[in-house]
Amino acid sequence: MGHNARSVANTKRLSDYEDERDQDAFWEAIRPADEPLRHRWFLPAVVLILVVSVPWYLPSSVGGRLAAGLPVWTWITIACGLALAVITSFASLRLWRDGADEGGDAASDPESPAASGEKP
Amino acid sequence: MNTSVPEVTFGPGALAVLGGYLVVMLGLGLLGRLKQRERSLRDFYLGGSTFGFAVLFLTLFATQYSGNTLLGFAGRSYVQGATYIVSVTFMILVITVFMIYAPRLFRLARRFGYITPTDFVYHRFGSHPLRVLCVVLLCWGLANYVLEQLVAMGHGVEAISGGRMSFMQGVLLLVGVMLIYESLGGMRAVAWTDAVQGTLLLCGCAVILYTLVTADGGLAAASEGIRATSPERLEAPDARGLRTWVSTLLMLGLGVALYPHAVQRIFAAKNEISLRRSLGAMAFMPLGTTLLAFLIGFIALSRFPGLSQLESDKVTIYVLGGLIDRSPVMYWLIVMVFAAVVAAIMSTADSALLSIGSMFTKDIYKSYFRREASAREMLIVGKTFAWGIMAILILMAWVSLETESSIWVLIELKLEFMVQLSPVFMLGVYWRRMPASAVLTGMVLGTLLTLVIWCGAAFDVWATRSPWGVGAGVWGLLLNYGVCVGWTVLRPARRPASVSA
Repeated sequence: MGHNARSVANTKRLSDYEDERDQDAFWEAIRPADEPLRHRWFLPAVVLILVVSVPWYLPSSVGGRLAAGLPVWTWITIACGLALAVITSFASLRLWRDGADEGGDAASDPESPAASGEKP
Repeated sequence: MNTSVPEVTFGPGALAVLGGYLVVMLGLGLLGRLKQRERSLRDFYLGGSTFGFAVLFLTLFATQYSGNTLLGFAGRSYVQGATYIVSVTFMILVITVFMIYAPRLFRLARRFGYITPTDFVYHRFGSHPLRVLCVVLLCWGLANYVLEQLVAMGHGVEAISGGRMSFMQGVLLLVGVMLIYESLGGMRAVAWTDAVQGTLLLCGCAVILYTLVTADGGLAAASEGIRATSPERLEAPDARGLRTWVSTLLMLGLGVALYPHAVQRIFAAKNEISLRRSLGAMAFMPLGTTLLAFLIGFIALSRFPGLSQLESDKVTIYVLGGLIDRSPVMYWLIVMVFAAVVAAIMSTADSALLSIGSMFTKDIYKSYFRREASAREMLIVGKTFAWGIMAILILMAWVSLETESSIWVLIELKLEFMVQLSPVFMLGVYWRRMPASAVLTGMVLGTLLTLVIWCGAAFDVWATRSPWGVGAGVWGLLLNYGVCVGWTVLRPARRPASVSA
């Protein structure tokens, strides 16, 4: 399916394909210049924070002991939430680069190559 | 200790604020109509993909945080106690999950001009049954999501009018205004109203947070109160509770990240920088909003112990209503907070409704009934469908008044199904070898398993819909992922395996 459309795929938008799909054009277009999962530390760091955020390791003696008006163990979860927010925000701002936007606001211009489906 | 809930009396000032707010919303709808560049689906459903950082961030924020956050989450925190702190983690995790698939999806959407999330599904897998199943599951989830907002609208207006307006009058008023501005200006009007609603919500949350930690002894007094009446709700979860915690993280973290109206905001971004900055800021928002809802429920537990499941949805109203007579300043602050609650409810409902209309029009009507339909015809069909769905949901909201069904039950029903789309996006953007047959089979089996577990519990065939502390939707999801991976790995390769693009 779609192989006969391969040669003109780069000038088409999805609505032009009807039932034909060019998978090569799809997979050519999908990869940004940089993305969080390409950094090998990102996913393990997220998993580690999540594992620590779940209070499975606490001794039963901790119980409902309070600190600053909340149970002590909830502060660990809140701190992990902050760490997850920092790492996520860092990933969004520093580990993700599309590479197609450097020319600016392409999609907003219906006449632009990006908006019409052509490669920039 | 005060164990009776307060009578909340806002007075005419609050009604004037609500009326003024609704007039502003209608004005923005009209402005959105005037600013339309063309009568196209992209312009109506994605605002022409022109949203910069400020509007994109506020519309993401107002859409993500709904009436459910401020009313339902607080109610859940009341029922569950301190262990509901998990809500803060899963709302941040939603943005983390975006980091996995959004970079690729955004790129594809720009390149191929996607309007709906299922545009990606069909483009990637080329399967009609898969596209239809995805639309059905997403619309099912979204319809429940809107229904939940309608219930919250009714409670919100009933409270802010001091009982002068009934639940159903409140629903009809807000839905009427919402449908008018949405039909006039589409996504552009929705995003602009979201910007106003998001600003109100941010300010409202700051006010509540300040009020909660300063009034009546703050958190320390609340914890001591809970220790006296229900100390078990201060304790860390036991083994089963830990499994439920992980199950909740999986279901909410993965499920909420697939809300179609949130995915469509990825498509609506003006450029990559606006999107990255918006998501970067969104990662911190749960620490102000979800944490706040948790604290409201926590404080309510100390002040109003023994509320029923249905009453627990109103603990935000009870906690803030108890502060309203303290001073004129406090009165207007609380009025602003309730305006923010109404804003949050409307902004979520309008976005979800717009998304339902876009999927029905583009993925069902255009694809299977009228392939030659013009943009104008599709816009009319989309709006008509949205109005029809809303009429049915209003009827269902009225029925919900007669039952003891709380908001939380509705949330679970929607996410249990929507989360089954997770492999489509999470694996679909990375694993070229994964075929449509694997995804479709996984999704069908996962959804069926979820339904069987859920219905078995509902009809008392077995005791719980969370066997071993793990939710029905998560059991379905595990089966779903297992089938997708197993099927793909075991099937004979038709071409050299290229695992990633």
